Amino acid sequence: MTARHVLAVAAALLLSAAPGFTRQPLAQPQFAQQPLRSGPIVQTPLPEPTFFEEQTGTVFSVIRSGFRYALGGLSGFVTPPLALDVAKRTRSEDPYDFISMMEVAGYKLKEVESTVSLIPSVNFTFGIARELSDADREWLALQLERHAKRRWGIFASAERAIIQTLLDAQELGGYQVEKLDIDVFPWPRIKFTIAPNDSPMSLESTRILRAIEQAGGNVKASVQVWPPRANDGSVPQAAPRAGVQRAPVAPAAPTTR
Amino acid sequence: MFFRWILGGILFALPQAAEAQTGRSLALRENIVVVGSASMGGYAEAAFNQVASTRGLRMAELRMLGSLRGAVSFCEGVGPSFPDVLALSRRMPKAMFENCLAHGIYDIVEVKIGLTAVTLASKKSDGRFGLTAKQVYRALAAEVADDKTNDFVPNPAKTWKDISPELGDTPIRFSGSPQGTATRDFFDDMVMQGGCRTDKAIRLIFQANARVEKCTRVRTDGVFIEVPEGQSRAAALMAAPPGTLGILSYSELVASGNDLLAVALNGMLPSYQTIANDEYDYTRPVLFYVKREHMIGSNGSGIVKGLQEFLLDVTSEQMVGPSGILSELGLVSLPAALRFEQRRNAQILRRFEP
Repeated sequence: MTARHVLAVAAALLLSAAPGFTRQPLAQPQFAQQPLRSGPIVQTPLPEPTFFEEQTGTVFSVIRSGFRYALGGLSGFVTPPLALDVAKRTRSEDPYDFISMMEVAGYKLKEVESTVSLIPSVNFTFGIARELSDADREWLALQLERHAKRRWGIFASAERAIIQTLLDAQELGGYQVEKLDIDVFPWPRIKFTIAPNDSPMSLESTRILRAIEQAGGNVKASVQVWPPRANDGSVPQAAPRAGVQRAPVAPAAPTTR
Repeated sequence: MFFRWILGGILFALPQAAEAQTGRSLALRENIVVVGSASMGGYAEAAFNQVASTRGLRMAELRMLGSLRGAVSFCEGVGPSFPDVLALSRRMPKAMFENCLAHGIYDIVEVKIGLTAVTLASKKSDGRFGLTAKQVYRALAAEVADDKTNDFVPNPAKTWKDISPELGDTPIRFSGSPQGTATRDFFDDMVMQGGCRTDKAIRLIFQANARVEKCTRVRTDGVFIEVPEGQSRAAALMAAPPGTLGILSYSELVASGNDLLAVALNGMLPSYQTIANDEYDYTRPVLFYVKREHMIGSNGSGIVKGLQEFLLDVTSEQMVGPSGILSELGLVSLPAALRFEQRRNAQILRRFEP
């Protein structure tokens, strides 16, 4: 079932790479300066506007634009979107925005990775941030239904398919999607990492847990020996501060060993 | 040993044959077992009470474990030890259905009996309010996160102005049912949890139980007036001090006539149109799923009696019509054509397909 979802989403993304599938109206061609190996700088019309010039929306609008940008920019060296720019554009108040719905689904955007090369690459990584309550699940299911009524098109379907897969993995019980990777370039790819809820911890996590347990044990031990006692079991008295009246302390009963 | 088996077989077969001859049914269990969402408990109880009293059946056993645990339990298998009915406030997802199929449950009948909507209302003399779910949560939660330290502190807000400067100097007061009642649970799930979902400090809590507790525990400093179950919430709101907001179901609001005014939540007023068109956010469907495999078959044997009767009764006008029994509990009736369709599904036992 999950594999079907993944295939459907990947197919949707591949199909949408064709300019005919884009929902947003294409902007007027702009002119960019392209350096050549020799000779003067010439102006060449690009089929699409530069990456962020027309975008104001969500990560998925960035992805949409990314496809068009890749298609238009393969003829020469291109500047890919910077991860920081993409990250800045992930804050949205729209409840039907992909990132907002992912947050309700308990996943947070962890990384946006972009690579500068002949073929640029952009990768989004979401990690699990919260367990879902029953109310969260019900709300998300209702939001998906409302999303389907209000937004249509291949990208909207892909967004819903991703979130539905995350929900489905939890509905099965005992499993959860730990990580979600969405690659835009060079090939669209969505990778779900599904793990059992009681999967063994990594070596690093085990070490950290052991260190915490050890620290906890040390704290407990130090609390048990406080206040420090003399060899005869009595609590040694510190010199009282000026103006402070100290109540007499009864000597503790000798302990038997 | 062999003779014992034969004897056992004869003893088992004889009553069955006799039952079939006399037309009486042989069930492996006496009462229907219902699982599902806790907030559906009120509707399930009222519906099964009615079916039990009119059909002379034993009252159903309700195990409202929550929607996920309920669905997992429902889909565990076919037989007397497994539940017969699942009550949900959302449509069964495909993954859940596939889980049922994997456990040999092929025939499920789905009936949608109506919609529920929770509203906030004020007295007409207090004028109209407009709030967001986040403002309601910040006003009513027992503990809220301190803006500077992000630590949870007892809610310090006394007036609506403390929540947001544009809200005026009216003291914060609410009235509503105690936890465990259908309307209150619905309010907690949708408005309180919806309002706190975007809260920064709440979002840092990983465990769902801890988060739900923080979101839904209401103040005990006199801001929330608890209306005991069975008392009219609309009447309690009318008797409450000025500025009190009442937590009511939509049908209670309608029944109150012109005495109460609905509060716009997130900019949307509840009305029949906004609820039916799914424009008002705090709306959800009420659905029942019944295993056909557990019904009494034509040979007179099955798991439990009364499932088919339940489906017929729960889709009847007397139950889900505009003045039906469940509308008193806050159920918003479906349009007549949809009610007819659901009744038809119950009659022909239409197989559910997600």
